[in-house]
Order: sequence, then C-alpha cells, then structure tokens
Amino acid sequence: MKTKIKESLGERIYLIVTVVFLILCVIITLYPFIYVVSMSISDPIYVAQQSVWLFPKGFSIEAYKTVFQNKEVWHSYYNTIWYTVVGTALNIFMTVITAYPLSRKVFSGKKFFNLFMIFTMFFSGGLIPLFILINNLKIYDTKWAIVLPAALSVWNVLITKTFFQSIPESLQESAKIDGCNDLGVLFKIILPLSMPIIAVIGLFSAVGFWNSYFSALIYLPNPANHPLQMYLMKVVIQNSSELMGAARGVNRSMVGAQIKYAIIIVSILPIVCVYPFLQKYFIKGVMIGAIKE
Amino acid sequence: MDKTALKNKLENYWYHHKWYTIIGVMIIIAIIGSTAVGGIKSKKYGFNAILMGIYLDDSKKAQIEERGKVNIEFLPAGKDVDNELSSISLQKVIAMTTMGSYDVIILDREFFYDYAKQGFFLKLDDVIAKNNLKDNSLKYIRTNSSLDSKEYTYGIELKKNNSLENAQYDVKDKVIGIYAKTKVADKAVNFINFITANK
Repeated sequence: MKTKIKESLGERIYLIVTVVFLILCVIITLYPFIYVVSMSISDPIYVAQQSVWLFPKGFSIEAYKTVFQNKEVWHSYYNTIWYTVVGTALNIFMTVITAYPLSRKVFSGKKFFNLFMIFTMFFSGGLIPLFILINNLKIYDTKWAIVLPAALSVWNVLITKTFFQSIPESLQESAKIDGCNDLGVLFKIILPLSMPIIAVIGLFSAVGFWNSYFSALIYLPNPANHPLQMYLMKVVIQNSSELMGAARGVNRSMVGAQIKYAIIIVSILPIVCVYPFLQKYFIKGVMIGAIKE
Repeated sequence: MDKTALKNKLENYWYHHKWYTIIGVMIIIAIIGSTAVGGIKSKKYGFNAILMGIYLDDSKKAQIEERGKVNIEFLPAGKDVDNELSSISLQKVIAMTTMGSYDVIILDREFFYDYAKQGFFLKLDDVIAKNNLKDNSLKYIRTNSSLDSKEYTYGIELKKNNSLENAQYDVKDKVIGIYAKTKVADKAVNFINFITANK
C-alpha cells in the first residue's frame, strides 16, 4: 500500500512558488529563441508588419535560402569549424599532458608548477601585453592567433587533474609492472577511463571557440579569417540585406530583418545539436570533486 | 659507444616511441607550416591606418587600400556602436598605440579629444606649413594635450568622401589624426591629401 507523507502548508507554498519561479525562468530563457525561430521562418509580409511576436505567421524559407547562397557565410562557417575543431583538439591534448604529471604523487616540483599555473587564474598581464606577444610571435592576423592563446585553460587542467587523481593508483602500478611506461599508462589506462572529463573539457572548449568573437576582433583584421560570430556581428550592425547582396525576387527590406534571425539560427544550431549527446558526460564531469573520499 | 650499440639504441627507441615521434613531428610541421608569417609589419603597404566607425564594406576596403597605398584596419567603435564592441576596439587601439603599429587614425570627434589629451597625436601646425596642407575648405581641430600649455592643431575634420561613402563608412563627425610617433609622416601627409581630396 502506498503511503504519502502529508505536506505542510509551508511546504506546499514553497513548492508552488518554486514551480512558478522555474516556469518564469523557462519562459524568459525560451522566448527569445522561439521568437528568433518564428521570425526567421514567417512570411516576410508579417515580419515587415511586425505582427509576429511568438509563433510563426505564414511560412517562408527565403531568408535561409539567401543565407546559404552567400559565400561569405560558408567561408565564415568553415573558419568557425576550423577554430572549434583544431582549438578543441589542441586544448584537450594540452590539458591532458599537463594534468597527468601534476596528478602523479612522484612528480617533483608539483607544488611549484601548481602554484605557477593557479597564479595566472587570478593575475594576468591583460590585453596589451598579450597583443604585443601575439604580434611578436608573428601570428597576428593568422588563424593561430585564435587557437594558441586558448590552447591551455588552467581551470580545465585543475578539474582534469582531480579526475586523474580519482583513478586508483593500483591500476597504474599494475600497468607499470606489465611493462607500460608513463605515456603508455596515460594513453592506455588513464585516458580510456577519463572519457567523462574529456567530454566536459571538450564541450567547454568547443562552445568557447564557437561563440568567441573577442579574439577575432582583436587579432584578425583580415575578413578572410573571420569566424561566423564576427560575420553575425557585422550583419547585426549593418543592414543585413545590403550585406547579403540581392535577395533575388524578394523585397529586400522585407527579407533584411529575417536574414539576421536566419543567420542567428544557422550559427547556433550545430552547437545546440551537439550538446544533448554530451550531456550525460557533462553531468558526470561537473560532479568531479563534489565528494572527497 | 660503438656503431652497433648506437644502432641498437636507436632501434630500441624507434620500436618503443615510433608513434609518439611521428605524431610529434607531424604536429610541429603542422604548426610551423600553417603559421603564415603574420604581424602588422608584414602587410602589403608600409603605411597603416585605423578607421573607427559603424561599418566599412570589406570588398570596397581593398580598393581604397590600393588607391591610397595604405593598409586599412577597420574597428567598430563610436557613439552609435554597441558599448561592448566599442570598448574592445578602444582597447585594441591602446594596444596598437603601445606597439606603434598605425600611422593615421580616423575616429569619432569625441574619442579624438580623449586621445589628443593623452598625447596620441602629432602636432600638425608644422606639418601643415611644411607640406602646404593649408586648405580653407578643411577644418583643423585645435586642442591641447596634457603635455601642452596652449592649443595646437592635432586633427583635421573628415569631410565628404566618395570612396569612403561607397564603402558605407559614415564620415559624419569624424576626425583624422596622425600618430605622434609615426616614422612615415610624409606618407601620412599623402594619405591626408588623398582622403581630403575626395577622389
């Protein structure tokens, strides 16, 4: 027989307030997204009349056609994918090879290197020294100006190091007895057991690279290297229809506003699609360090 | 160590570390090979200008660069630009000033006065006299920097310009200034001539 513990009035009120608050949060979060989607696929006439406020009115994919016909969009897309893939791969590689020695008990100088890296989390040189460094390294206005400065994140190193420390020492000792050297232990024992943390730092890094425009604005004056977010920024600042060229057969001013919304959707869709597949790892990963045993 | 021992050692190293070596070498080659030599100094023309404003059409920018023999870098900044973007651009200008990596800058009047006070710009009084830049149709901007006790000419107001307007650059309320430590003041004068001649 099911028994139910009776809730007090206070608990009920608390529950109602919490639910109402969360529903409000969901509406505030989802509304802009639904609005942008609706605007991008509504009939241009309704968009021009500004009568779309929630759900689409009519249906038109003219804005998407215009976006996909534009070579600059594809080029920026290519650049963004390059930054995301190369940057994330480099970030994971650097994080893993830095975190592993720091997680070893036998590594001498561990404290010094830890302190050395943590220091940079709280104190940094700022933009001007970094700009001078990038320029002196001769990577200003090259793709590496985006990827290299972000190749190592101390925060990622710390959570990866904590994860590595949670793997039983005896596993690594067994591998060594069987003839593994340190790199063998890392790549054959530690890494296969560390997929949750690799997925988490990969996701952090990929989302960061995908959304980043600050570095591009500072270090990439040449439009040929601009990522999609920079293009999006230009479209938002400037009249979209002029930027996108002629939207053939359709009234430019009508499509102009829609193009902005279509580009916003096109730019966020891939990262939104990837997120659910990594979510299970993500939850595991953020739990790291929650319990100390 | 005799040759056989060395050979054995190398073979042993290769047997155990083959993949790490190959991947390492490939990464190094990829990094070196794909890092095209960048840097501000390596640009096409030996003269750099910064244009600050709302927008500059990239496809038209190349034409202006060719005609004015200048490397143009556009930065979104101004009173009509998003504050965050403006702030990033202004930080970049400070960084570029530290590097001395531009010679001429076109910017909003408001920013011009701020920068002029900090001594960013070359005094134009002597330059104008020496290069016959005096033109009654031009408006010279006089102000004083924190280093001066009296006012000097530090900028020239940008007037209507077809090339810039074709590139959708808003010339309204913009001022041209020459970077105080430029090494190519003569080219800066040529550029000012080019930009004010409305070609």
